[in-house]
Amino acid sequence: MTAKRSPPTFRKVAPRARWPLIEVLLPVVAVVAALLLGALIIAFAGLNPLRAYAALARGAFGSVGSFSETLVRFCPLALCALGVLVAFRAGFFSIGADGQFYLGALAATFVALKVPALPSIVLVPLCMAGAMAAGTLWALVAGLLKVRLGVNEVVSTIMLNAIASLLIDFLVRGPLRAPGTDLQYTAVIPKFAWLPRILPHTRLHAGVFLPLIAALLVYIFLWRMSAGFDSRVTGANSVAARHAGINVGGSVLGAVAISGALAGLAGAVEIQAVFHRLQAGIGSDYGYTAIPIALVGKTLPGATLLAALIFAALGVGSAMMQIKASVPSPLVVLLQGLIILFVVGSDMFVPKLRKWRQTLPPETTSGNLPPMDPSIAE
Amino acid sequence: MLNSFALAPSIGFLAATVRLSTPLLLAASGELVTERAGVLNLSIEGMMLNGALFGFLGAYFSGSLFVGWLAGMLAGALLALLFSFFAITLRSHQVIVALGINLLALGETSFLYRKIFGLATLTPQIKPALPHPIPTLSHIPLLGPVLFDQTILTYAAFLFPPLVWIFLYKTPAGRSLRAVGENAVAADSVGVDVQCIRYLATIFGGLLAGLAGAYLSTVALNLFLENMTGGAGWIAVTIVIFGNWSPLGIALAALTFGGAEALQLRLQSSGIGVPREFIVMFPYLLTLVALSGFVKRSKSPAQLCIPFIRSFQ
Repeated sequence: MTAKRSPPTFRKVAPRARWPLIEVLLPVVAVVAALLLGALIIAFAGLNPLRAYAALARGAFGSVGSFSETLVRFCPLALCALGVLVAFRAGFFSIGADGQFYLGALAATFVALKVPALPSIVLVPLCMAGAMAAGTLWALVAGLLKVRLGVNEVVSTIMLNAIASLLIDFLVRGPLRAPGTDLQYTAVIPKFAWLPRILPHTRLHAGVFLPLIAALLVYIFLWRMSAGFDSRVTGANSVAARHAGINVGGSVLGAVAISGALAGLAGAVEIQAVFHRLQAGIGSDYGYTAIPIALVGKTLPGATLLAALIFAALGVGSAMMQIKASVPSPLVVLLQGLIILFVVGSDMFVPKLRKWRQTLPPETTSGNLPPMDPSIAE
Repeated sequence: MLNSFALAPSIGFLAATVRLSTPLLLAASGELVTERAGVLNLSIEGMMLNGALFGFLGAYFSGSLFVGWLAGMLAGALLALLFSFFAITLRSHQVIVALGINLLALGETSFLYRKIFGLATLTPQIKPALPHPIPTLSHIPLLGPVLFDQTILTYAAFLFPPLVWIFLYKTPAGRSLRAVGENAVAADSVGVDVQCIRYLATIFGGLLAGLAGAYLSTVALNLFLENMTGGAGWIAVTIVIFGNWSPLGIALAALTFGGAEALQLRLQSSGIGVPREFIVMFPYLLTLVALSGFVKRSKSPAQLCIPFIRSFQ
């Protein structure tokens, strides 16, 4: 192994590259620019953009009830996005959060329905643990295919997502269908498995703290633990990581397992706190929206939470916008697309900014997202 | 007589297979060319949706299906141009750009449709497209009704794989395109314009995805529904993978997916107790197994989804 280096000298020689403020503000500018373009579109449609955005904001934050709804939507989005973040940092570009979310929802429902009555304090975490295990397993399928056989993870997770959602469709129509109905959902899970609501007359539930805890743990894993460091190095340059003696396959699989667990947990929260039963099409867009959210959040835990809150607010506020400003609610989906494109496009300024400030090498592309890396495979 | 009576349901099933494969094969033919140039375009779904809306609008306001199809193709190509700008010129991550464009298209089509027609109770419709039986061929027993009594777009869809094969393997442009997908730096060093080829390949994919979408709203149905593609674009992407990135492969893969869909519909109406989800799932499982290389080495383009950066100016 290499000689031990003394940290103080190291710091003097290579000062830790800090993100200049302007680079952090770049995604914020991009979001504002996307909203401005959205305003133009509303104006061209002959409607008042100011009234539309005011209604949107009121619908998302205007009252205790509406803000609770925003937080309810924020919870699974943020958990999935944090999972995506961990996988991205390790250079594993999966789009499998959707399938992992479904498997998590399935496992939570299954545990809640099949395990004999237990006190809440045991059953609630047990369901979540089951969901995390299921999400992890589903993620590891893609992880192992990549690490052992070199199968592109984008490609394999498309299949895994489709299979997961078809599996749910089958189970809620067949073996797990609620007895005595023709509708396609399972029986309501026992109350012992429910996550408690924390605000009367709203759907706000205790699970809303999970993304905050998860963000902290993700930060600790990636930036304060050697395993996380290995994952990040692998994501940045897997060839260099291998030469440095890092177990490349292992650190990718570790990150993939964490990301699957978080997406699975999101599925459990949707079941245990919101729906209380499994039905076809729950949370149908969380897994896919989480991917750009992690990117809008610059694959940093705190910023990703903020990005998830923005996307949740857009989704929740759109109904009010349609009612109060008669702007069709799909505009918000369009707006989300614009935000993603603008944030992703604004990354082209990063090299220029860096060159201008002469901080980091200018040839980095796509922000701090690792490039597609086929050399992770053994 | 007994013989033809027994054949009737299977003819119906095979004809449905061909019909249901049509949009998948159209979109997959375009995506194949795009991916062979090293661009992973996951926004086929959005491009199809855009094609479906503008295909419908074109046919509705002009009264001509051909105008609709043209409008659908242009709508798909326009989104492909947007995708190319971000993914090829700015070198943003192709998957993220694609997911953004899918949301953009989903929002934009529903927004425009509601803006144009309002939330009317009566869904606007166009005249249904009629099949164009080919004079003598459509009278062949079995094959005739299955293959030669379809709409023009179905004939076109099944012409594309051979055309794409000829283009990819028998023309200099096709060779350059494959080189760009396998090793962009090497292609660049012998004077191939990597970015230009990737642009053209992506726009071609967008044209066909738009046409596939227009097929859904003008031929398969004669109306537009919000999010009417419902994952067909993702199936098209899967077909390219399942077809192992070869023109013949995607034709067979499209028929497999179309056949699974047709069988599923048939079982649903007949009430036979095979879970229909497993029939739809089967091709996906098969793809996953095929991908793992247990059957055959995967021939994914080496530089799929990797942006090109010229290191030496």
